[in-house]
Amino acid sequence: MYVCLCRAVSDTTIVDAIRDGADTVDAVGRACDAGTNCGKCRTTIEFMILREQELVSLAGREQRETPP
Amino acid sequence: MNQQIVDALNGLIATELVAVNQYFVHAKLCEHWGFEKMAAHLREDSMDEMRDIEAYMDRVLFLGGLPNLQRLDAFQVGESVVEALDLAIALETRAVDQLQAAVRLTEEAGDFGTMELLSPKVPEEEAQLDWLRTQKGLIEQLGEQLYLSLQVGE
Repeated sequence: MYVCLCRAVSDTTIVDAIRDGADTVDAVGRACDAGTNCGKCRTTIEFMILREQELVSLAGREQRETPP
Repeated sequence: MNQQIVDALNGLIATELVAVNQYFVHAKLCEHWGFEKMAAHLREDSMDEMRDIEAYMDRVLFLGGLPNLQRLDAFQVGESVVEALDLAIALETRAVDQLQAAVRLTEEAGDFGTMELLSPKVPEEEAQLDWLRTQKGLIEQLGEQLYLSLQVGE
């Protein structure tokens, strides 16, 4: 779904940018233009960054705790 | 003037404004994709929400406040009919909660006029939520493609 309506950027594009290393809202904006106009979606983008970071840390923990 | 009630009504107006815009953009997208039946339904929903806004505005003015139509909160736009339905379910769920809180507030304040205006809206919004959930149920049972084929045509 479209998260940034001003620049027509979808959630999948934003998640790709985050997974490619964009770890702040501004970095996401530089990578894919999302959140660079009116700024209304910046809170959602911030939430998406936190969620991705949480997913990465959960995956890491699972890997450490799973016996080989 | 009870500012708390005016604020609550303006809060409801803000949510309805999101609904008007979100449903309308989804209606036009569905029309563009060829799902005319879903488009017609969403278009009518959008108009209904606008009529609710008008009623809330009249009440705010009656109470001596100023209706605030300037606040448009952020919302998302689906890239498919299913996403549009999911976004509508999330919005309506929030709207019902907000409406119920406003009804409680009017009751506590003894503002039975506003309560009379708002309480019939609760089952109306719930019926809308029910319809949306039914569509999701149909998609689950029929499969997305068959469901979508029923949305094609006038």
